Amino acid sequence: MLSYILKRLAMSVPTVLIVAMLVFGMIRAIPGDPAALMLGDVHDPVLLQQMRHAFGLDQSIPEQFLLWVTHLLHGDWGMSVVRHQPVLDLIREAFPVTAQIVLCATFVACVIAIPAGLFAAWAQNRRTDLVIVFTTIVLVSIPSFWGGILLIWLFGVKLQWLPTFGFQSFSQVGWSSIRYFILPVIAIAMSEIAVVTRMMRASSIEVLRLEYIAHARAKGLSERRVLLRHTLPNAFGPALTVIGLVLGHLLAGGAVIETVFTLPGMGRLLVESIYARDYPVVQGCLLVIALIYVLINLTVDLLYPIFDPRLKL
Amino acid sequence: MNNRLPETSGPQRVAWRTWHAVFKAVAMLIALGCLPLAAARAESTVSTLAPVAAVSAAARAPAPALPEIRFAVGSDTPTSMPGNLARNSTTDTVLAHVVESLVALRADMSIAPMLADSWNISPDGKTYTFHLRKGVLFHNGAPLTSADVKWSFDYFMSPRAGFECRTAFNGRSVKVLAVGTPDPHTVVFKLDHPSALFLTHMADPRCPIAILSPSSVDSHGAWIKPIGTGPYEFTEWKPGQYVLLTPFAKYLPRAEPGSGLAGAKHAYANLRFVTIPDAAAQMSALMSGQIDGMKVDQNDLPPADSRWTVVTGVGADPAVMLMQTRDPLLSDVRIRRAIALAVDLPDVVNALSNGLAQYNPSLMPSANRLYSPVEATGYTSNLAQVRSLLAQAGYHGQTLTLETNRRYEHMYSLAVYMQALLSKAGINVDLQVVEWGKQVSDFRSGKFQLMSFGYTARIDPAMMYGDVLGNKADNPMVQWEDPAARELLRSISGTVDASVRQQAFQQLHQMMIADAPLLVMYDSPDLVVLSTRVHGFTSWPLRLARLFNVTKN
Repeated sequence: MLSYILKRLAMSVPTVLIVAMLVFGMIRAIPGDPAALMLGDVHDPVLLQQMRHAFGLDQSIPEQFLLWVTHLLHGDWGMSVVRHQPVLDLIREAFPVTAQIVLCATFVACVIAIPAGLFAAWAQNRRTDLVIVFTTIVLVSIPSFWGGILLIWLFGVKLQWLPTFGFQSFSQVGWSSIRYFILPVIAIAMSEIAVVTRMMRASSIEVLRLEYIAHARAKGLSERRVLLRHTLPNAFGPALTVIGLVLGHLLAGGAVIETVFTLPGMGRLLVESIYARDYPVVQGCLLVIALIYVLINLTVDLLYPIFDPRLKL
Repeated sequence: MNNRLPETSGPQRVAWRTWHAVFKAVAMLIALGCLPLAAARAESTVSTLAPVAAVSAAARAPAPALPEIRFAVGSDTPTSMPGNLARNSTTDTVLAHVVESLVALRADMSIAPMLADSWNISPDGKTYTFHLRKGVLFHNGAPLTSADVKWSFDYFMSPRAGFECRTAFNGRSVKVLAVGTPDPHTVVFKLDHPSALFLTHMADPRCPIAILSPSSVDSHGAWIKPIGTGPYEFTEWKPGQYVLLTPFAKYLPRAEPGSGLAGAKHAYANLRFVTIPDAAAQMSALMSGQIDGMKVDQNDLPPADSRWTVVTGVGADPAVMLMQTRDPLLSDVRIRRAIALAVDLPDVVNALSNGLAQYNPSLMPSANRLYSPVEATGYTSNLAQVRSLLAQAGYHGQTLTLETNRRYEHMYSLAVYMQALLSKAGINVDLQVVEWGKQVSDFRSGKFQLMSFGYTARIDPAMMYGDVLGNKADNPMVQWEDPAARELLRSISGTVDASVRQQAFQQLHQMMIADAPLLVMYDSPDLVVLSTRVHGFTSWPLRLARLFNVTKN
């Protein structure tokens, strides 16, 4: 197991390196540099030169890349050219916000979607199944930002039960932070529920058609035991893959949802930095995102044998 | 295979229990979330974000009854240092409440005393002697002295401070040779040449020479936070979320009535500048009563409602259509004039701004005290003349490209109108929508034919003309290369006489209209939506929300 983990981590190094090179090159290929954008319509060549020098933009791109990688290996992720703060500090502040919201949403989605998918499969083609399938189609068809706006309008503006913007960390203010979580968590969970339910239903239907399920029933096991003991573990694998992908995607920054709910998370940080051509922050964020994908994929792979003992690492 | 069971069988009970547990969990989450909100709402003047603020502000928190005005800003301030390279419009707005300069801008953008009660200019125009106001205290309780003025100026001029306008005082506009402090209440600035813009630069809200306490930096000179003399203290800054300002109890307001950033300033409430990037989210927050004010775009006005009012005023940021005078086609002044005359520009402005702005063909904002009917005279649509000019220039349907972006909707709308109306007049125009960063890059390198653009406000017309006039070989950002106009502008650089300057600006305007290097359309209006609970707010052409002298009931 340990050697497998180490092997996978070693394999991820070239992936992360390629991502880093692509990001570094591509962000610089976009017209406009941070110094020029910050000055906008102001003409001050001396200042422009000073800023370019301060940001290291007066060096060639290979030199800049080498410098960035060298600093990175020393634990220095660079300074934001717009915010004048260390990139690592910015990511440290933004990532927990995204992580708290996304993990809550994923938990809520799993708690709802897995039983719903299993139950829909068991009740295939009956009214309950149709209701679940229809609901998931509706949920998957609603863009999360639109869902977010509707939730804000209903619970924030009309009923005034919940705040429409802002964020308080659970670690700072405890349970009262939940009111800032509810709407974004629901908005994100809605689409997650749809995707996971559909995957869970499809895989459960396949499993329920297999002979060992018939055998389990024939030997007199209750339907509850058939579903929980024999169907769920075997059907959960594909759903777990989907959960991993969705989680990675969301942790990488749901910029739209973070903008709609004014959450100071990674997605907003990344998008704002791209607009401002804040190269060090864009590079830092995308590097973290690459690492997140690597780690989530690794975690999913490690979890597979727990649910499906036939798979050996 | 039949895997169905009767509805009352075991698995349904399993499912029911699962769903029941889920519903209970969701209900508990909602209940836990809503209870604190209900409690918070009971304290009507406390922000929904107050718990964190209370922790750090507790030590010097104002009286509990003081209301809080929450104003939405589209982006967080990246810095708390006035005029720092990282600054943006939020920085300027926040710090206009915290710091003050020796002089300040009035509503008509004239210069008024602020920390200096008066000043003398030597006959050669090269020495400015400021007499400081007595009794002024910094937020840390220290009295203001001439040494603080010198320290502040020296700090801003040091390269490590990253002061955006350093070069304006270091030779680009004027060079300050020395700052003297003959006594604790007198400061003397010596310049290398007379300048009409020295005081204007000093009062520029974008990068003022703010007078700061040396405690604003640590022992190594690193910036901590602004300790100024303004009516508000910089109390708490939570990046990405808000900046909280609290009234400075020992602030001594000036005796003159408030105007612009000058005159009497009173702090009647705590101020919280809340970062909400999305305009729709700002509107939701206003509708739910979580914020008290926000700036709006002319295309995005909220519906009329008894809960809020829209404060409108003229702005000073000119919306323009640039014409590349070095382009083979547009280098012909007849083509440029044909474009200018092909469209009924006042009608376009009226339609674009929903009647909130007036056609202003001048680079001088209509709010400026030097603005005259000469500046208000622009182009009058004349299609017969357009046809004649195009024929003389040998135009036969070549397509021009008009560049714009979608980040600033008013620029896009202007481009769409111009494309449609120019095409109708026989001038073929293609629209090119690009990302804002690319447009800025093209503007700075001069790589465009036509461009729908917006300049940020300059507080003096000489600054605006100075950035538009020049030689494109040296600076591709300039739009107008007329040597006579450049010479005229240079001739008034040391003149402070208002009537002489006004005459020169009128002449410059007439020359610009004749040469048509760019079409100035209108000054983007200042539009602020405010809760009806907020009183005393006034608009300002520089479109910087000033919340001193504002109350909330």
